[in-house]
Order: sequence, then C-alpha cells, then structure tokens
Amino acid sequence: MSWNDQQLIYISVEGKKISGFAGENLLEVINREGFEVPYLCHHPGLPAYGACRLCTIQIQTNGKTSLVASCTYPLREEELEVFPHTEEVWELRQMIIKLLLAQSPKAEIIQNLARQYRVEMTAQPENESEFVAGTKTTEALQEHQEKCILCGRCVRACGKLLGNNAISFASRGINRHVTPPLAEPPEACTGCGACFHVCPTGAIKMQMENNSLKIEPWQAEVNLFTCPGCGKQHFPKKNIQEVHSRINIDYKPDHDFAEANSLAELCPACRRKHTLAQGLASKTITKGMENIL
Amino acid sequence: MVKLKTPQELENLRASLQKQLKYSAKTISICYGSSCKASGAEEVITAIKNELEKNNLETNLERIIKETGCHGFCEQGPLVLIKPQNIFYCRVKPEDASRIVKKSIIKNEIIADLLFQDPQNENIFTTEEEIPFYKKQTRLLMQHNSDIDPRRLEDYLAQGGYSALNKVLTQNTPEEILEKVKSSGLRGRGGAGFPTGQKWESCRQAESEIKYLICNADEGDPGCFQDASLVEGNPHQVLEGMILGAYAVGITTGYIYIRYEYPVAVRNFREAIEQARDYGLLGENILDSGFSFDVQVKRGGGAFVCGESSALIASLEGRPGEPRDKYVRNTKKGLWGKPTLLNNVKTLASVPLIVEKGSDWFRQFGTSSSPGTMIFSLTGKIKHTGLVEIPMGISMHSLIWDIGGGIRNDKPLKAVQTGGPSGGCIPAANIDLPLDYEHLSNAGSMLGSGGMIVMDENTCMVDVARYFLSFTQQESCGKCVPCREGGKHLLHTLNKITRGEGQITDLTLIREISEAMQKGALCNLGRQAPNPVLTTLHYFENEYHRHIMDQKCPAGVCRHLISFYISTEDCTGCGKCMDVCPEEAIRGEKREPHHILQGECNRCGICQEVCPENAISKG
Ligand SMILES: Cc1cc2nc3c(=O)[nH]c(=O)nc-3n(C[C@H](O)[C@H](O)[C@H](O)COP(=O)(O)O)c2cc1C
Ligand code: SF4
Ligand code: FES
Repeated sequence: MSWNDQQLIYISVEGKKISGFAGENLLEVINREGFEVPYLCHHPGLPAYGACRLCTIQIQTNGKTSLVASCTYPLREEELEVFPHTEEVWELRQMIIKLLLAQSPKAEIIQNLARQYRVEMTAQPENESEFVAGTKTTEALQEHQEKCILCGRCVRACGKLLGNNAISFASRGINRHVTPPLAEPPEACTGCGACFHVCPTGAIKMQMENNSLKIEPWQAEVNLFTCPGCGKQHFPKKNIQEVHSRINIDYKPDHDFAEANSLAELCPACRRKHTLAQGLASKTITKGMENIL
Repeated sequence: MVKLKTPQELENLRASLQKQLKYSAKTISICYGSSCKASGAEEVITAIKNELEKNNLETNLERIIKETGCHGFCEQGPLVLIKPQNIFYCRVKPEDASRIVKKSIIKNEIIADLLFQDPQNENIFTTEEEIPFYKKQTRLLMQHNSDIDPRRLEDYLAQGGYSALNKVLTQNTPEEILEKVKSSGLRGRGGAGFPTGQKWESCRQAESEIKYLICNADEGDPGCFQDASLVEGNPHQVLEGMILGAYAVGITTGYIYIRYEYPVAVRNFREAIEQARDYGLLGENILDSGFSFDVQVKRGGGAFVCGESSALIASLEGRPGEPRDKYVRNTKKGLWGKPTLLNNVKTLASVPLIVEKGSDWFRQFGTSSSPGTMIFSLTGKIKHTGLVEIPMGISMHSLIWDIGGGIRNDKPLKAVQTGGPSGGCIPAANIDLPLDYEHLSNAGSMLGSGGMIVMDENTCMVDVARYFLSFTQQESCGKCVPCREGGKHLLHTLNKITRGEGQITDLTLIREISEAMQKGALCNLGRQAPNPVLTTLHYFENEYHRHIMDQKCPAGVCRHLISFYISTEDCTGCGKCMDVCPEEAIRGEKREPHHILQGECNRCGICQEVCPENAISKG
C-alpha cells in the first residue's frame, strides 16, 4: 500500500482536531502536533512495546474514559478524544519518574524528567527478592545498572530490527536485566552499534580501541575493517560481511555487483570521494556541485 | 474402536454403554486427584487391585476400579466411593483394601469405621449425597467427576457426554449455538468475567479465513486446582466445549495450554484427544457433518503471568511469555495475528451443559448478572477444605459454615482472601457478601479463579498483604515500570512495617504507589497486585497503625515485633527449650527457671511449642 492509499483518521486532542493514518500509534500522531507527551521505551524506528508507561494519556471513546499507553494504541476508525496532560495523567507520570529515578539515578534523561515533573529522589530499596540475578558483576555492569531503565530499545533493535539477537532480557520481575546469552561475549554481535544509538540513558558504551570496537556491558568485541581507500580502520568486519551478504541476496542481473561490494568496503569519507570522482567522470555531476556534496 | 460415521451411530453406542452400566455390578471409584494422591491414593489403588486379583475378580478389573479425577473433599482423602450406591469411604488406607473388596464389593456390607463422621456433632453419613459438604453444593461441572474414568471416552458417553455436540451438528446452525451461549449469560471463569457470548460473537465477526481457539488451563493461582480437576478428571467435557465453541465461531484449529506442573492433565487430555479422533468426534468431517476441528496440547511456560491472555499467546508462539497492551482484542488479532478465541477451562466446560439443557436451565442457577455455578477452592483455617461448586450469589457465610463446616478450632473468623494473590481481603463483618463478580469487586476484591483462603484471628493482616505481594512480585514479568519498580517499593515498605521500622507517611506512599500500579501497569498482574494491600489497609488500618506507632503486631505474627517470655512461676527448668533453640538463646540451671536472651532470640517460637508446662508466652 502506498502512502496515499492510507486511510486518514481524525481525532480530537484537547479539543483540537488532528489527523493521522490508520495504524499509526497515538503517541507519534499527537506529538507531531506538539503535545509533548514524554516517552522512554518507544522509538520511531522500533516496534511498539509499552513498557515504561510514561506515555500514558487519557482517552474517551464510546462514552468511556480510560488511561492508555499512547505508544501502543493504534489509530483506527472510532470517535476518539484525547487528553494528554490531565491531572491524573500527570500524577501517574510523576510516580513513574520517581520510581525510575530510584532505579537509575545516574541517567540524565530521567534526571531531566524529574526536574520537569518536579519529582524528588527517593532511595532505592535493597533487592529483597530471594534470588539475585547475575553472580559476576564487573565495573562496566555496575555502571550500566545505574543507568539502565530496562526500556528494551536495545533488545528490540538487535533482535526485531536486525535479527541478530545478540542481547535479550533474562530473569523475571525485579531481576530482569539485559544480557548476551549466558552472560558471555555475544557471538552474534556484529558491532553495528544499534543498541548504543537507541539507548535513551547512555547505559551502553561503545569505543574504538586498537583494531577493535568494544560495546559494553555486553563484553562485545569485534575486529575492524581497513578501508582500501585510506587505510584507516572503520566499520566492524562482521558488519561489512553482513552488508556483502545482503547485497548478494538482493543481487539483480543488471546491477554492478562487484562495484556495490567494493563500495561497501570504503569508509564513509572515501566513499564520498569515490562517488564524486565517478560522477565527474560520467558528467552526472558538474563542476561546482562538488561543494554541495 | 470403530470410527463413528453418523450421529445415529453415536447414539447407538451410547445406548449400549448405558445398558452395560445399568447391569454392571458395583464399581469402586477412587479419587486420583493430586491431593488424594499425596495422601496415599496410589497405594490404596494397588492394594485394592491385588485384593481383587486374590478374589479372582481381576478379569473385570477395568470395570470394577475407576481411577477418577478429584472428588472435591480433598481434606478427607484418599476417598473411595462404592457405586452405584455412592457409599463414601474416607481416609482409606491400603490395609482397608481387603475389607472393602470382601465386604462392600463381594457382599453388600457397609464398613462403618470408614464412613465420614462429622467432627461437629459426631453424625455418621453413609453416602456422598448426605454429607453436608456435598449436600449443599450444586455440582454441574464436577457432577460426573466420580463416575468417569478420565482415560475412557466411553465413560463420558455413558454419562450423556457428546450428546450436545451430536444434536448441534445435526440440528443447529452455528448462529443458534452462539445465540444460546449469549442468552445463557455465561461469563468468563478465568477471572475477568467477560460475557462469553459477546466474546464469541466478536471473534465470529472478525474477518479471516483462519481463526484459533485456545483453552486456558494455565491455572497459576497458588492453592487453586479447579481447572486441573476438570482437565484431569473430565477432559472430554472440556473438549466437547472446545468443539462447540469452534463450531459456533467458525474455527478449525484449537490449542489447550496446560500448566507446566500438571503432567497428569497433559497425559489425560492427550489421550482424550486421540480417543475422540479415533471415534470421529474430532478431526476431519466430525460425524459426517462437514465440520472439521482439531486440538493440540501445549505445555505452559511455568510462570503465573503466562496465564494472562496476551502472555499466553506469546508463549504459544514460542516467544517469552510477556503481556502486551490489548487495545486490539485477541478476537480481532491474537495468535499469529489471527482472530483468536481464548476461554478458561470452566467457561468451556459449561458450554456442553448450556447447549444440551438450554440457557433458561442454566439461568436458574446463580444470579441474573452472574448465572451458573462457580468452583471455589476452600483453604486456610476452615474445617473442611477442598473444591466446592456452588451457584453464584450464595453468601460467603453459607459457603464457609454450611459447606466448609466453620472455622477450625471454632476460633473467630477474621477475614477471607478471595481471588488468589490478585484478589482482596474481605473482613468478617462483610461475611454476608454474595459471591458473584459485582459484589466481590465492589468490595475491592474479585472472584478471580475461585481461590478462597479463610483466616482466623491469629492472622496478621499486614503480613498477609506482604505475603501476597511478594508472590506477585516474584511472578511479575518485569516488563513495565509500575509493576516491576512499584511492586518492589511497595513490598519494601510493607517489609519495613512488619519489622517495626515503618512511619505513618509510609501509608500515604503505599496508597500512591498502589494507585500508580492500578492505573499504569500494563497487564492485570500489576494492576491487581495492590488489591491485598489496599483491602487490608482499608479494612484493617488500625492494625497497620499498631505496627507503626506501637511496634506491635496484634496477631503476634510479625517476628520482629514479638518476644517470648518464660514464666518463672511455671518453668520447671526441664531444659527442653534449651535443647531445641537454634540460636542457643536460652539460659538457666537445671531445675531452675530459665530465661531467654532477647538479643539472641530469633523468635522462631520452637521453645513455646516444646514446653511441656506451657510456661512460655508470646507478647
Ligand atoms: C496474571 C494473570 C494470570 C492469569 N491466569 C489465568 C489462568 O491461569 N487461567 C485463566 O483461565 N485465566 C487466567 N487469566 C485471565 C486471562 O487473561 C483471560 O482473561 C481468561 O483466560 C479469559 O477466559 P474467560 O473469558 O473464559 O474467563 C490470568 C490473567 C492475569 C492477568
Ligand atoms: S504488569 Fe507486571 S506482569 Fe504485567 S506486563 Fe507489567 S511487569 Fe509484566
Ligand atoms: S513510550 Fe509508551 S510505554 Fe514507554
């Protein structure tokens, strides 16, 4: 279905009529109109999840009023009135932020929310459960735990988006944590860094070191590939291999396959130079345009 | 076994089975439910079998002995019934086997000392029907549990089973069945009480070639085994309900999701499916009607939350058993994204009865908004524990006193927890509350899966709240913040109060966190987890205050808030307490009064139990 076939849905938010497409989630639709509903576990590039509950709003439909998580609520044909910032909603968000602040006091995004919602710090209770997850703790793990809010963005990015499943949730309840399988360096990690990029709290660290890229606290370490153009180390090797294999799957007869593969190996700077040179040679790019590129 | 090809063939088979039953000699029905098994039913069965062999009755073994599902009066197990008279023997031991066979089977004698004697008035009862525990019940779902060997489809047929299906396939359209279930007013027995007919209709209306039916037999409430008693004890009734549901809604594939800890239920249901297929009652073209439906057994994920519908579906799909928001209902988009009808075991087991006897018949039981019966699991400080089926709307008082025999040791009742760990505590003052969906939820509790824990005056309500919350906390999947983090803080606060470290402001915190969980948690596990806390706080606030302000636990339960004392007058210095004290906290010379070093004492209370002079008191 192309986008202009999509069904338009009209809803009312605090009395203002706005529209979105059927199937879109309410959170994105109302925030597009500037209603500033806060959220943590949602990410526009990832499947909806509904874990942090910060995006909870009040809705009225069929004469019934209820509180719903807006990130998992799909737009559909129905009379819908939305109130994103009622007193009840505000109080709920305050409690959620309070709980998160106790859990992850070092996360900047939570500290900012606490300021915005005027929430004060409470102490984090001891883990009183009978069994405690994770017997080994490293410094990296501890640092991670002070920030991680278990929103699951990293898990979804790695699993649902990329199909790598190098990390996942383990244990139930308050022992829930994100970990590579068996808490060992994850074989499946390609070093793409998606987890690092989607994490809202900075609980994941990614560093280039010597010939490798390290992602903590997963203990992931992948070798880097040397750019055939400039000799600099850039992408993780496994990433390039993956790009190669995807190119091969998408192989089309009229496509310059070798060309695509060798392009994928260049670092971003060299690739730009290469494209420019080619464009100039084939006159698809004229002098003067090079500044823009 | 011959495949039945037409409805007439089924009726012919039934007629011959019923004839056999009528002319067959006595049978011994032995409860093989989990509780009777735990108290030695297996040994009793072996002993009776041996005895039958000794008396050359072994050729008829299968006819004479029936290992059945739960009979309900678990506390009196192992239970043995002599049919057709229904002579009720309880607490049977293997040594009794020879008497049972020689006297009650070969001859017509009744063994007086095996009969049930009411401890209250010492009345002795011969048959099951006469015993007050059974007499006051209305057994619709559990009616045939003691007549049926769950591993024999023929037994179910002989009791009238599959006749609803048979009639429907020849005489009714799916719409007519749907209409019947709708007008019966049946509501979901899995906890939420959603109108079953409405759910079926919504699934029927969903546009899709493929739809699924799931029977929820995950039964995770601690102390509940109602669903087990049906799936284990009368699997064909559940299966028939599933087939009828599938027919009414237009479904060809079904699953039953059985709790991980129920291997017998899994075995019995698998066998039931195979037998039904062999007879042509399940599978392709059922009884030549053109309607096809088949069922597979799936074992549960081993977590309480897996019983929640969206978590169950995730688990069936092979994903972690975590709930999701259900703004789009399962009846529109469920298993593998297809319209899915999910019902509890008891809901589905009610369907054959409704279809066979009509919705008016069903509506004569229960109340107008909660028709039918409910099975409760009576536990706690009550005289008679077990499974009890009663019409909805009966008062809690009647259930506890008329059927349950009252409070153990005739102590005063303090409160009743209904609906399992997600339910609430109802105080003794509200004992006349009718047991139905509305009344219980208005009281801050719920009907839930029918758990009922009776508590006497020796129960500390703060401790009760703490106990149930620690269960839901352990079982929380941890996905959403209100349940995972809110539950953690709530439990921590309650722990503090039971240790005497609470502050009066903690009560405000408890209410605030609870409200956030009720309003914000993703699934009902988190939304309902505060119920025990809020109800105890509502009805027994004073008890919370005593813990906080006076550092006293009025019921003498919270260990940090009690002390043990030895009375110098009564103590003879025998030294028994000294020997058992795990902390070596008791001092004293032989034959001189002893005393307890309070600083060392961990308040386990063993000393009080062993003291022959009753010289140790708690305060
Ligand atoms: C934490 C949790 C556990 C549940 N466990 C069960 C269960 O073990 N069996 C059950 O039938 N329903 C259970 N439910 C209710 C189901 O989600 C669902 O409402 C029910 O199976 C629907 O069937 P019904 O309409 O026949 O009641 C549970 C719900 C929650 C929130
Ligand atoms: S309420 Fe509890 S069990 Fe339900 S999704 Fe949230 S964390 Fe999981
Ligand atoms: S953003 Fe909606 S629940 Fe987290």
